[in-house]
Amino acid sequence: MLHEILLALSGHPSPLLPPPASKFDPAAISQTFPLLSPPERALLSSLAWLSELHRRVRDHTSSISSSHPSTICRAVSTAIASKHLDRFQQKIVDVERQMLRKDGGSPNEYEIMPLSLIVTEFEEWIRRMEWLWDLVYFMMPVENVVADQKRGLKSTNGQCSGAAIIEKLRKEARTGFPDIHDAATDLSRAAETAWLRQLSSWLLYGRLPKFGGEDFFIQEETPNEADSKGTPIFTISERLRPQFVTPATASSILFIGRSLNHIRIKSHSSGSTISGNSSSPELVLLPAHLSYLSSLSSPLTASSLSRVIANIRFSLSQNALQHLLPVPKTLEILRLLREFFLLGRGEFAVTLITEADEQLNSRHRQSSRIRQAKGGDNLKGVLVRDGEVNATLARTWAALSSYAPYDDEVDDKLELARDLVHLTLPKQSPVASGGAHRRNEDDKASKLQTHTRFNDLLFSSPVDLTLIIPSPLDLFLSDTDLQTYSEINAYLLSIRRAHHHLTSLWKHSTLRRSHPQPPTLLYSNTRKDAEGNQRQRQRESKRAREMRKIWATCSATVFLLSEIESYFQGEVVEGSWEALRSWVENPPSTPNTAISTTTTSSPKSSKTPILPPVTGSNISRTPVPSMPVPPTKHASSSSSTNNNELNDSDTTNPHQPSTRPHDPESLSRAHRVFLSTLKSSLLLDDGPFAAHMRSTLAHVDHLVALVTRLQTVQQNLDLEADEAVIVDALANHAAEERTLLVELEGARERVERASRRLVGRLREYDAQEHTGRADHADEHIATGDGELGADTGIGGTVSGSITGDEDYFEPFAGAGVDRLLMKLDFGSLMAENDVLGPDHVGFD
Amino acid sequence: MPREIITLQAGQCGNSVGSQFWQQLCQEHGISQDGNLEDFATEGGDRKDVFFYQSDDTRYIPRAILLDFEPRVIHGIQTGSYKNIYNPENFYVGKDGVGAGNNWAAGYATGETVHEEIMEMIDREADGSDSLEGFMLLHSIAGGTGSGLGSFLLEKLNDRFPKKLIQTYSVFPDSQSGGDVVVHPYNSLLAMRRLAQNADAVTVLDNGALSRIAADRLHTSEPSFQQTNQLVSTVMSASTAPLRYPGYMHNDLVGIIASLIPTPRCHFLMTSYTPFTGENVEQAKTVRKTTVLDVMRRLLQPKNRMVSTNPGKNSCYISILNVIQGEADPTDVHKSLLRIRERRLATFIPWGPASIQVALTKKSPYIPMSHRVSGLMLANHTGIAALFKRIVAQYDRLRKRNAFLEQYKKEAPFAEGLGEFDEARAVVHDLIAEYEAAEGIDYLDPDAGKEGLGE
Repeated sequence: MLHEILLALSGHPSPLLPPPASKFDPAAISQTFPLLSPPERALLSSLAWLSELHRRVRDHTSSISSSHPSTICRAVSTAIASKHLDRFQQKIVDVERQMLRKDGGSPNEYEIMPLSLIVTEFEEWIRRMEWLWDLVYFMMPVENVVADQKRGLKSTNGQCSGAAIIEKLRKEARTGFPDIHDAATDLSRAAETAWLRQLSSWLLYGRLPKFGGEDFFIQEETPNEADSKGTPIFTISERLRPQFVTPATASSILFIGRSLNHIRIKSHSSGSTISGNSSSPELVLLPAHLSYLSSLSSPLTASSLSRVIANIRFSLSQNALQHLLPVPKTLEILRLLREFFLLGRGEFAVTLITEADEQLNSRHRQSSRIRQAKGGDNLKGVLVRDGEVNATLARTWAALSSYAPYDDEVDDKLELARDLVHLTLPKQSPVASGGAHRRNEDDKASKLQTHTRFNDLLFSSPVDLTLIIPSPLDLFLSDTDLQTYSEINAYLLSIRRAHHHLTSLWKHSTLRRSHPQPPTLLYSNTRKDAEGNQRQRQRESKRAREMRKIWATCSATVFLLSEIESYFQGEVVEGSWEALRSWVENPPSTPNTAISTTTTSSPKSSKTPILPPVTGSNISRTPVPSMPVPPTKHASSSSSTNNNELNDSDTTNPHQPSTRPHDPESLSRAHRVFLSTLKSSLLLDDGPFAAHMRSTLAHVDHLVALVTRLQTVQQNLDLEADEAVIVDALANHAAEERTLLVELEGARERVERASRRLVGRLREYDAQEHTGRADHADEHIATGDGELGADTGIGGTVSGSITGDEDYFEPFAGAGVDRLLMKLDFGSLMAENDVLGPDHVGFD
Repeated sequence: MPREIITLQAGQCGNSVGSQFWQQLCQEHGISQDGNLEDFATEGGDRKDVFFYQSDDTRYIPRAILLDFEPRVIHGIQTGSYKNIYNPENFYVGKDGVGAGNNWAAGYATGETVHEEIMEMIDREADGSDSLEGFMLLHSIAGGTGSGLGSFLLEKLNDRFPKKLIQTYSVFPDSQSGGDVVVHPYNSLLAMRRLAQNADAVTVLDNGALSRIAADRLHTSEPSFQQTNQLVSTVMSASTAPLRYPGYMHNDLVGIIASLIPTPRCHFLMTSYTPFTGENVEQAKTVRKTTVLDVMRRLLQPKNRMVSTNPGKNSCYISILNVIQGEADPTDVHKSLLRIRERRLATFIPWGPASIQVALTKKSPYIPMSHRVSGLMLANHTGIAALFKRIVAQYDRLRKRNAFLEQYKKEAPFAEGLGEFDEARAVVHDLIAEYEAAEGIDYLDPDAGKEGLGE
């Protein structure tokens, strides 16, 4: 009987002890054993329950160990089976031995172990077994093991993740029962070891665990399109991230693995470049990193883990990545982007504009010839082809390199740009929308707010300036960044282009000077010649008076554009770039000084004349809002890294150079912050402003075209009148002049109205900026993060990861639109004091 | 893009101003007296190719053409310390060595006889540049060569180079104290016609104001031409600084002209410069505080204008461009503008958005300066019409008496009559009317009001 009980306890189904439905179910036993007295039955029932539990746990663990998707769960369940159940088995054997030896310490004389004694022996196991059952059930909740087995155990929903079990175990360790505490700690050691194994394969080789990878908190996304170029995209899955991995640490971990992947892919694809100096940088670093990892002991804490991760990341960026992406190289590409995409090199912009105009003109001539030949208007001729665009750029490079003996360094940049920068026609053609937009932009402007595009102004159809990201630089530059660059470039370039076209009107000598030369003085000596002279003078005066309005509008627009440009270029772009450059060039020397660099960055940067720390009008808006971190967090994170520097000084070389370059991840984060701030400071994010700008530029184009046309017509008129040369017998130049003048007046008014709206929007923006500065800043950060999330896949943790890093980049806060407005309003405000009505003042 | 500018120097004044200008440019760009780059000139960031080109042996050569009918000044340049920088083919000295004798007609007529030779030089220089932006003519309009040959050149350039800008630095005679040329009203008026019709921008430098300023700053009663020319070359070097040290804006001539000159007729610019100190003009002792605000405020003071006029009550600025050189912070500029606006130190035309535009440019790193910032104001001011009125008035006085006309009648332009005088007067009259109209609200709608133009 007793043996039967023991056998039952060790897991064999026994008819004696039918599986009870619950913990105390003496009724079940009473059915099979009617002879037993109720106390016995009660004793037996608890044993029956224990044996049932044991059986269930055993079965369940075996199924978990073989089929659970999470290796951590498998590890835990194996630990349960191999350790705890084993111990239980041992206990049974012990009890049996006691029983057989009859020396069970039993005080009674029957030399037989009483049932109650057995029950007491096993009593402590009931709670433990129940807890184990809970745990097992938690890992794989099954209503009924048997039923589940029938179903084949393939339903994975509801199964817990590795992170969850680790959390659960950690919580259970704090329940207060010493035995459960021990068991829980023991199991979590098993779980963490399994987790660390996954982690280490990621940290050391950049590989996701082959088996059970879907349980790891870093997930590989299925590359959606061909454009990922075989580089896998990794993301952090919030759900699978254990609590002791802080978001910052998580993103660091992600970064480490990702860079390792990069390195591997690079060394695969480009063969010799990296392996030239050291066989494979990540393998060289392996032992060091392994030793970091092995220093981790079982109860993993957030701080110890993040310390180890920080060390690995540091050593990785210090050693491998520095070779891969040295600071000069980074700066080189950033400078290139600044010079060519942000128009730091003015000649590039101007030459490109000129060449593009040339191209369009020659096209126009060609296509009109074709049209004449074919006798119908051929729309195909209007669309710009790839080849033409590239030819334009090629001519631009040629022209640029022919100019000016620059010093070698600058020429290098040009050569690099020539290799990397390209003009492309975007694949999905927004031509139709662009065209429609142009026609009735007033209606569309509001709808297309954020999508006002400027890339179709240079050529008649959308063309983007793009960059081929050379191999190691894609560690921090993404395609999305480049899209932003292209967008900004198109925007700045189209403003420059309008400005350029407008000022080129000043070169139309017939409009600006008495050209062609008035008859020479010899003629004015006779009465007839004097009259002729006078006639010409009067004609010129008449024209000059007709043109006054046009010129006034043109010069007002030139003024507006040039002030906007100089604000954009001189203050916004230059300021932002300087901030970025000094951040890249002056990395925090040691983590210890990270605080001081971040906090002193604004006065430091104010050394460059562009960055005013606090300006007279800007006092109300110190750059605080752009800093989403409470300084305490900074302090804590950097002090923790500081600690570990001290702790691990034996492992990390204490004599390392005091400056450490930014690693690519923080670089790319900073760069992205830079880009998004830049975009919004350029008001490109501001839908209405961009739309108004777009329409102003379009109207300016029209106006310029009309003025040029008028010039030709007047020239022909004069030829007819003065020299009696008939240029075109069919044309009625006088009539054409009249209609042109009417059209010109219309175009002039449109330009005037559009630019007034532009300034109006600027004013609104300024007001908004004043009132809702804080909101705006938040919103801006939020959107910035959204963008980040989209392309890095860091998801919602970005703000955390930005802030948790001592490498935080504080973007240029911006000079404020009010400066620009002040200049635009300068004259008008003074004129207010005069008798004049405000409607005569250019903008208002 | 280089956007080259070819400099033409005509007459005694033009050439002496020019030689000072080139000397200054060489110093600012670190070009030695033989045209080579000095060893210390490694800073870069400047654009020398606007005004210089490099010869095969990499010497820098000014894009300058030096023209005069009498040899004295040009010989001075050819024997001076910077004699080697010029292209020897670019000198033109009258064959007989006889000047134009302060006679516009003589200068003009001589120009006509030798124009092939001169135009060939100009064409050669123009062909030698990639993207010629325009011409800069340095001359005075009081005498014979600068005025007469200058006029002739303006007509030719206008004809030959459409789409190229023509800018002049024209030294006007001291119209208040008379000056040393009796017939200067004749010469000025005749040259004024060309300046009005054939130039895109004229920087007016009034000799009267120049000597006043020089006397003021240098504490001498009779400043020499050398000293006033120094002022002119300082102004020229400052006003070309945005082209030579390009910034984001106003970095080409058309940009500067477009922002200063809205309507084509009103293209006469006034200048102010501050501070003139020892480095610019010898012997200047006063070193004052130079902040951006000080500089910008002083630029607006009438006594610093290099044109002596008594502007009328209604006269106002059409536009202002301040070229600030040195360590200027955009924030300082911003603050200064705010202050100037508060104080209402400048009145603008009623029909346009007028503002003080500011171009911040680098200063030459090779010339030590005692002051932090210096400023040049280029201003389009309707008050300049007063100067033209004075010239017309003085002309009328002479013409009424038919004084000194004999020597003019000897020359080809006036051999058959004096119609050119009347035409020139009419043009200048129109010009004055244009400036006066620009002061009014209805300038843009002239047909709404009634104003007689022409005669």
